[in-house]
Amino acid sequence: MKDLLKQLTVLYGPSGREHTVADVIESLVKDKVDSVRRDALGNLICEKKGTGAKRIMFAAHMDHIGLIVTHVEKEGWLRVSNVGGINVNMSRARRVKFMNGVQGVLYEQALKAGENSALSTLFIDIGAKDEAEALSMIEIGDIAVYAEPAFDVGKTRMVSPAMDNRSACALLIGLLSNLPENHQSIVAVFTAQEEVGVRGATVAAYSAQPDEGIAIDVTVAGDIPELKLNAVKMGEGPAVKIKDTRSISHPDVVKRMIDAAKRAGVPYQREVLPYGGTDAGAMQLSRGGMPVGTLSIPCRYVHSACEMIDLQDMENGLKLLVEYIKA
Amino acid sequence: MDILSFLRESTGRFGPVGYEQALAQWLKTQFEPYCDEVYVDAFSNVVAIKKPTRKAAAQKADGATAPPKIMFVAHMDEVALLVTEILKDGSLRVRGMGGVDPKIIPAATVTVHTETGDLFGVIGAKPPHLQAADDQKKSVKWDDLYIDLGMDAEKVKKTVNIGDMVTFHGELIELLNGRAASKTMDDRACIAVMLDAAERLQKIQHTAEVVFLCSTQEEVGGFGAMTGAYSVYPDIGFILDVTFASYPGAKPDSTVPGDAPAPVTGPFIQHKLLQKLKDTAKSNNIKINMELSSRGTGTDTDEVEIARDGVPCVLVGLPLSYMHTTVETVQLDAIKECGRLAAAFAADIEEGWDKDLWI
Amino acid sequence: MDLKTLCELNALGGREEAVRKVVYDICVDKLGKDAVSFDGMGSVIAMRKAKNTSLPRVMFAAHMDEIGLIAVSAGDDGLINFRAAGSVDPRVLLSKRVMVGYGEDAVPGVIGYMPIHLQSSDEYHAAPTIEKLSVDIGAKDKAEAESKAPKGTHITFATKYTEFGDGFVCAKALDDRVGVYNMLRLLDAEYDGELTLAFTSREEVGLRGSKTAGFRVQPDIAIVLEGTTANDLGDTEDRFKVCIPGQGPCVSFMDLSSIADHELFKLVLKAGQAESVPHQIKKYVAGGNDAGAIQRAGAGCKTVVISVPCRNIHSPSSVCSLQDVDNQYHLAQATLKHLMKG
Repeated sequence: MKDLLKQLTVLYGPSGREHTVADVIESLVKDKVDSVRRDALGNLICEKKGTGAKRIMFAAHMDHIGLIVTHVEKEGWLRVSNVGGINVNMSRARRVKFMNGVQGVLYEQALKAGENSALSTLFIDIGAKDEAEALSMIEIGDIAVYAEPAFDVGKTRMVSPAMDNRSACALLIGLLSNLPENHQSIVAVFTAQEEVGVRGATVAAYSAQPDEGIAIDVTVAGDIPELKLNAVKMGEGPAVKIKDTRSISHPDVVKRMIDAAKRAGVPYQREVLPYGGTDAGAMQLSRGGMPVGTLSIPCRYVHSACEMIDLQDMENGLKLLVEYIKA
Repeated sequence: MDILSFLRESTGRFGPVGYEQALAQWLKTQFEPYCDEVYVDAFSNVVAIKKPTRKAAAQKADGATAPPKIMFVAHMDEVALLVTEILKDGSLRVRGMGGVDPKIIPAATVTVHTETGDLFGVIGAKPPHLQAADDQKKSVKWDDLYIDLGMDAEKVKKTVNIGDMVTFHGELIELLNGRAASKTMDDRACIAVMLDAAERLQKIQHTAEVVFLCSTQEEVGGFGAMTGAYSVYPDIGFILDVTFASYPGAKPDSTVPGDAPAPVTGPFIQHKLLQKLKDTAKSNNIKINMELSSRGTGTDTDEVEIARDGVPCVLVGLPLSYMHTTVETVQLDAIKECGRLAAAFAADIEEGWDKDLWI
Repeated sequence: MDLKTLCELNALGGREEAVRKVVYDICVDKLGKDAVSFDGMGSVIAMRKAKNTSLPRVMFAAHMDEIGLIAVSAGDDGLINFRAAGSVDPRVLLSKRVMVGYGEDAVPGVIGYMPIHLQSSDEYHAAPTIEKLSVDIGAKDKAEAESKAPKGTHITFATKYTEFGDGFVCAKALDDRVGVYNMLRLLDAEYDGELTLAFTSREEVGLRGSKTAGFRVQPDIAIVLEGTTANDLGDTEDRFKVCIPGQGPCVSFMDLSSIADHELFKLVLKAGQAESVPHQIKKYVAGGNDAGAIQRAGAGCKTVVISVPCRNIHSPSSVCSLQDVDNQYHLAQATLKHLMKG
């Protein structure tokens, strides 16, 4: 799991530009599934038939947040807008990179008296001396992402700008690599454009037509100093989502996930998230609807350049899912 | 049917947003006496179908033409609370499920639904004796509220889980002049309208296939209506939801009189169907008061009309006072008139109803 | 069908009949009755069958509805209170002429304001709100006003289409009659694959009709033809100008409703370059349009938006360059040509 995570987190893949990630994941899973395909939005859709009566769609999004270049100043500064939930406070003095390998520094201009920080006060410095040189390196419409490399902390924890949501991708790959002998049929979708509105999952669910949908995503861990948020803690097990702003997990799905955790002998937590949503919100509304749930990986510092997860939560999450899909 | 009885029973039944499964099974039994087929779908919507009682001329000729299908929609879910935290002292923190105003909660009594059973709870309110001089001027915030279960912390932790549902107490009481107050009149009073209409249609001939959809999860975005409309795929949508009855200090143009159905006009409503609705009201002597929604209606209409490749819709409001409190008040006559209007409109849908619908 | 006629038709979201009729008649005339249908929201869908089915199925979309106001009630003084249909800054409404209602029943009206002479200092500095404004049609009392403008009556700007300066035009509803205008021209487009022209309804009130048209057609590629906001005058910083009228139609890499398919975005730019059609990139991320709904209808498709830069969008006096309008058509045609090249 650790090596897989290191491999996946360094890949470039902001919303709308996920193909590199999809290519790598496809190469890792294609021998474990019956079929793989891509659709118009760039989702990677993998089918694996099982002996069970149900068809369950698992969704783990490949994309992460980024900054899209909207304008190049005469001096060569790049002005940006957000792709997904960029936090301006997390965006000062960051190392960033573009798809073609160009690197830069994301910083904030000097603010006037009374002026507030906003996306429009940020800029990227790619070391170009003027507009012409900048445009020889990148194009308007290119997207930059936080570029810190992944690193280990403590005994079981890891940090990277892309834990949201490559950790879930790793978990889904893990599920496909550890299928029990008798399992429900699976549609494993590595989705596109979740961070801009669960867009990929919307169209993938429509074409896949599953009976049930389970999203796998990180969730905000509330266990850092002075954070008055609900009780999900890192290291205390994967979280079974009850509700977030996009979906209310079906009570039967919640019960089945908790029963699976108990049978697998792994710790778990119950989660209510007051803000944010996952691909489950899109799957539940597809066509005539379906029951949904979300398995969450507790994560500190979500949507920063230093997102942290605990590998034990991931291992336990994997055990829960393997138990869950048994037929 | 006895509307008051139905209201008393239905508003008392457990059915928070997303947790309507048992309620759906009960509502199914309520529609069965009036409909040919009733089932609960993948999203826990109740779909009750009353088949046409007479064939259209065109159908008689080739038999293959489907009758026009009209779908009435009212939502069954209620706003509620859920447990977000168990404090060290055994009291519970909560958040709203659907649009709950924290101001109505202090000193309310509630039921906490746990895995092992239901518990009585009281929402705490700081006594005036201990308040600072201007405390009473401050608005109420979620983090100031807590549920008292009357048990010690150890017992609470063993019994209650994060995510447990909490429903309000608010049983129905009758007021003067044919009014009744209860929690969850939004929108079970409109399910009463649909049952009333279904009962009336036992005695009226109709060419259209009439479907009654009790939708789920309206309070968080019209999700049941969205998926239900996709499955049923009607030709016409007729949504019933509560709207704001006049109250003191209301902003101008934001409420309607409480005594009559309030059809809505606006960009989300098909204007020729609306004209037909007005004509039906007139020819049946049903008083109506028009309401304007200049953008989205904030009801299931918004989701039904964009299902698949589109469903032309009308929306009728049942006036209700004190929405999303536990004392929602309606006039019973208004419920009956909405039912009468709905049944008459369904009976007026004949083949060729969509001629010149758009041009 | 000329742009002037289209702009001067009155059609707010939910009541697009005036435009729908014109569009329907032209489409039927060109393609025959069987090729033209309505979806459940009143969008007009005109489909040209493919000569070569291996080419991508393409759909163009432009919306028929415009920004305006809706009557909500009348005061005892005979003045009509209203709400906005779509996103309107109340400050552009003062001292304007409007038309109340449609067709033969329509009456002219004015939106006035308190005379400056009578305004206190606070009132002078305050911004007007929609609730404080009203339309005066000259009615003598509430009853007369309500009979002429019952609740729900649509109110449109009474702007006359005027060409001015060097190839510019001032009109209402350039957003999105420019798109409708060019889509009617594209009925004759050179393309051997299946081509659908969807004239959508109710875009301004929430991007509605495109969702249902998108679901009905489910193309491989959708190209939205819009009018978009240009903010280039009045000493604005370069990076907030968005796009510049006169420099060609603009192509968006992203807006709030969709991220353009990257390859398709690049193909449009390449086609513009190769066919020498002036064009620019929209240098801002803001606003939404039909592309988002179409991109996610059904199993999804690739989308891109080509817009005519319009100053003062969502006001009675939008301004754009006629060259840009014409080049929107040419860029669309160039894109089709390059899609055929494969």
